[in-house]
Amino acid sequence: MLRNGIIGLILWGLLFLSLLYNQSSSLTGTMLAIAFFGSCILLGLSFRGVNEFRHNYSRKLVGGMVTTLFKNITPPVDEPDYKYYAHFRPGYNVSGLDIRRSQLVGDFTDLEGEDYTSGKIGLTTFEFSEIDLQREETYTDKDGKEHKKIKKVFKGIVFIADFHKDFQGETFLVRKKLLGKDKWRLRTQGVFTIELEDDDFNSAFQAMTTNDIEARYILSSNLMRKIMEFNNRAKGGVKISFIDSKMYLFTETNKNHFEGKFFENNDKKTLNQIYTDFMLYFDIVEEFRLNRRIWSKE
Amino acid sequence: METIVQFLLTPTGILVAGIVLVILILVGTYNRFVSLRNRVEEAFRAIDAYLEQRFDQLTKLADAIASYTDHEKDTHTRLAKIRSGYREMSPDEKVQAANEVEGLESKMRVQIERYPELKATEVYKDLTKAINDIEEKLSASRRSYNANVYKFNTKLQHFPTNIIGLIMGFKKTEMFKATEEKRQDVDLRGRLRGE
Repeated sequence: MLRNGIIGLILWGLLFLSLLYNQSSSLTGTMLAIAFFGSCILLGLSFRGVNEFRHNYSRKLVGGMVTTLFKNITPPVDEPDYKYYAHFRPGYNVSGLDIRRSQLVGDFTDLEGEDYTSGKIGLTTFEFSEIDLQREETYTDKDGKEHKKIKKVFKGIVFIADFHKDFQGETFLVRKKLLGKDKWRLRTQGVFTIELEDDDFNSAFQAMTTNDIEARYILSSNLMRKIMEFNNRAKGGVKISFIDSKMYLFTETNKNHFEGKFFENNDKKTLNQIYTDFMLYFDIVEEFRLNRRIWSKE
Repeated sequence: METIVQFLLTPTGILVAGIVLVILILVGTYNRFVSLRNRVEEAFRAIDAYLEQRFDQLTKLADAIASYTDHEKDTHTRLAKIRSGYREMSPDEKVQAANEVEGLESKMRVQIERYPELKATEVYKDLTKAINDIEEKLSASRRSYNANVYKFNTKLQHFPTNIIGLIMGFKKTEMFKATEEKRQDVDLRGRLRGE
């Protein structure tokens, strides 16, 4: 990239010199064309270089880190069938169908995502990836002309895992806001709000459900405490749904979590940060005790 | 639209709007009371169902102990006898049975301690997990019951919903006083009677 930049500068320098010392318009025109097209080619090559760096960094370093992390897991001695593995696929993402199933976001027309990780710890399968959801809206102005605008629906990390308890109803934890979109959207679907026993939890989250008893069965005091701890660690807007015996956890963030930074030289610091971000999600399985299976789910 | 606005600005219009508003508030409050009462009843029915399920699992556990040793058959016999007639029991008898089962459960836990081999079996592990799951569901039902009773009672005490509640004949409901560990204190008798 640096090399390409230097070549580009030389080309533009030559053009500048030809303007200074030569009055021939044809030569100046040729030089201008060479400088312009040359710069375009160099810019393209540089972008390709950046993409290659990102791809290699993700595939080799981040993917390798995930594999190593799972190699270091010590399985419980009394569980010989305990399985644990994870795959990191930088170009993939959690499916749109699963995102819709979560009911945590409104309608969206465009889905982009990357850095997909999926695997199994004990009896719990999990997957997560970065996701960017947008909705294209059409509106008509005063003159009757149609216009399109893009609205941000969600940007952040979507984590999905098996939940360790069986349930039929739907339970949601959304941000506690008076005019929160999620709250009103869910209300129109027949979901009602409930107050839980933990006051701190109630001030951070609005609990909503289709089945009061099931919601309290899912949200044990231990799980509420763990969700609060995760909420503090994640430093982003966290919302969760429990549907079809699965847990969907959305963390809003604008940061690119699982990638190398091209313009930063501190590889160790970057890798440490990526490691911390990964552990935040891998730990959910253990922290939320998702592996503590109830017999009926096995 | 303009005609409606003009009508609403007349004294008759204001009166009609006032009456409609009052009716809407009354209907809304009544529906809220009914919805809370239904949730209370649903939670209560769930408690009864989970108590019954807990009975089943404890009977199976007693069965496992009895099949493991000939010396500990009393608990199994007693549990089987209670379980066989549980559905036909009167509320008073159900309360007695629930309390007796608590005692039998503690006795079984002591019995199991004498047989570490039994504790290591898959049957015992599965039964323990099932019992724990039912305990959690029981606890959730009780919490749901109490939370909704609390809301219901608060509405009955707050102004002006207390007046509406009184007119509509809603009565204060008792909360469960049981702790996680001591279910014997549950006022199941009164609740099963519908008091």
